[in-house]
Amino acid sequence: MKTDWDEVLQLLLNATGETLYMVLLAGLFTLLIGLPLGVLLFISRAGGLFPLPRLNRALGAVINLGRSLPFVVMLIALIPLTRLIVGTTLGSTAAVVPITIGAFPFFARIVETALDDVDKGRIEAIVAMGGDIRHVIFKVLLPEALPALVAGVTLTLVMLIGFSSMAGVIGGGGLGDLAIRYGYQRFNNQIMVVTVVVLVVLVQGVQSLGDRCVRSLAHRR
Amino acid sequence: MIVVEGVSKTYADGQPAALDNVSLQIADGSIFGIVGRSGAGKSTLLRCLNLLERPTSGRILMDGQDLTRLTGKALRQQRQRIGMIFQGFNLLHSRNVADNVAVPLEIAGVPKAERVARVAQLLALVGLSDKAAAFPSQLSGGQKQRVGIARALAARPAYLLSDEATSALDPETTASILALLRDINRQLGVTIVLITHELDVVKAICDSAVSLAAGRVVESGTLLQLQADPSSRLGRALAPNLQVVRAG
Repeated sequence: MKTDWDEVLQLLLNATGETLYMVLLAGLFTLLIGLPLGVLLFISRAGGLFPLPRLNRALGAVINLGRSLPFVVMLIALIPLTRLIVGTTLGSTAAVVPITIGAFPFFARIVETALDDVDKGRIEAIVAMGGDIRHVIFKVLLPEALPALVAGVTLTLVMLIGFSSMAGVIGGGGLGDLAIRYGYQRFNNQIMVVTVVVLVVLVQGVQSLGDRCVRSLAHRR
Repeated sequence: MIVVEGVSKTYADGQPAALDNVSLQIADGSIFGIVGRSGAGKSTLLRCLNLLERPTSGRILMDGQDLTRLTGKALRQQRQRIGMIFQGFNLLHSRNVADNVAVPLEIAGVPKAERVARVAQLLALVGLSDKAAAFPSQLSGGQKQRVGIARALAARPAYLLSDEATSALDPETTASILALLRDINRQLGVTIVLITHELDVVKAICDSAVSLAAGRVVESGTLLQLQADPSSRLGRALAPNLQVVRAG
């Protein structure tokens, strides 16, 4: 079988565009939901800065539920919710809903862990000088945990690339969909190989960019 | 003046009390030492003075106001009048030296221009004007504690609590930090309450001291009273060292 490389290139460009669209949009929503949720998880712990043990347990249970479902199951199970939010259940935009819902519980746990690693003495110093909970969050927790948070965002983005490759199940397109439809179902090994190469380059790029940010942040500390 | 009245602190039912009916008075303008072995309750007592620990019973009167009755905003405002320095320094590593010193001023809502001027003044006071742009990780232990002291003094507190502030430092640096604390006490009139397990620290700068054991006050008094009392173990331990004759 002869491969039309112009067509392959076009397919790849479209698929890469779809993947980036899904990953960046879902990444933005994951950050917007996961970061405040992670802060809330941390401060609401029993014996924490703003103890709300009941809320904390309820949130923890919901988050664990979200994390225990295999993503491909969630993709299907969330179809009614997707229809409610974006009005359609097909396409890249529709895929952003389940990808975000699959990722934000994970990111919230990463945030919680990063904040837990901030030296308790630094928190205490701010409390001792008369700081309130906002001062603790914005002057200590988030700035001191920033390198760990950026590392967590990197980890989450790589995971989002993985999630987005399953979006083909609901017609979301993207690189994973290309690899399955052309590479697997049509036995087109060339497409399979170039798709894999693009995915690897994408993940490596995200990871090394993230690592560089973490290093420059940690540099002077 | 700080008056501690019958303060007890129990962490959990059935456990021995961390503080057991402690009463003492700390005069304005003095340097007051709290000594005792580890586990004696020193740290708990110090942390009760700014309500980082809430006493189970008893009162803490600061200039006549009972701190244990305060909550929320009133408590936070009172805490702005009480500086604190720590064994582990507890500086923010995401901020440079000047911005660390500015934190209490930001919390107190001091305008930016005023903050900058005040920070420069404080850094000059602790001898670190040339390190304003440095980050904590670039400083020695003694320099970090100087930043801690500048930060604790930023909001012009009446009281300064020192939680083993020199325990992580070598003897020479300890001496320079103690000298700085004494200067601050003399020049600014800040009342200093310090806890330490090193009696040399008490001997070097304290006016009065209390010793704790198992959460109870064993002895207390001014340094002169303690030293003059032959039955005082703390007094004997704090006796001026007559064998050492310094030349020059």
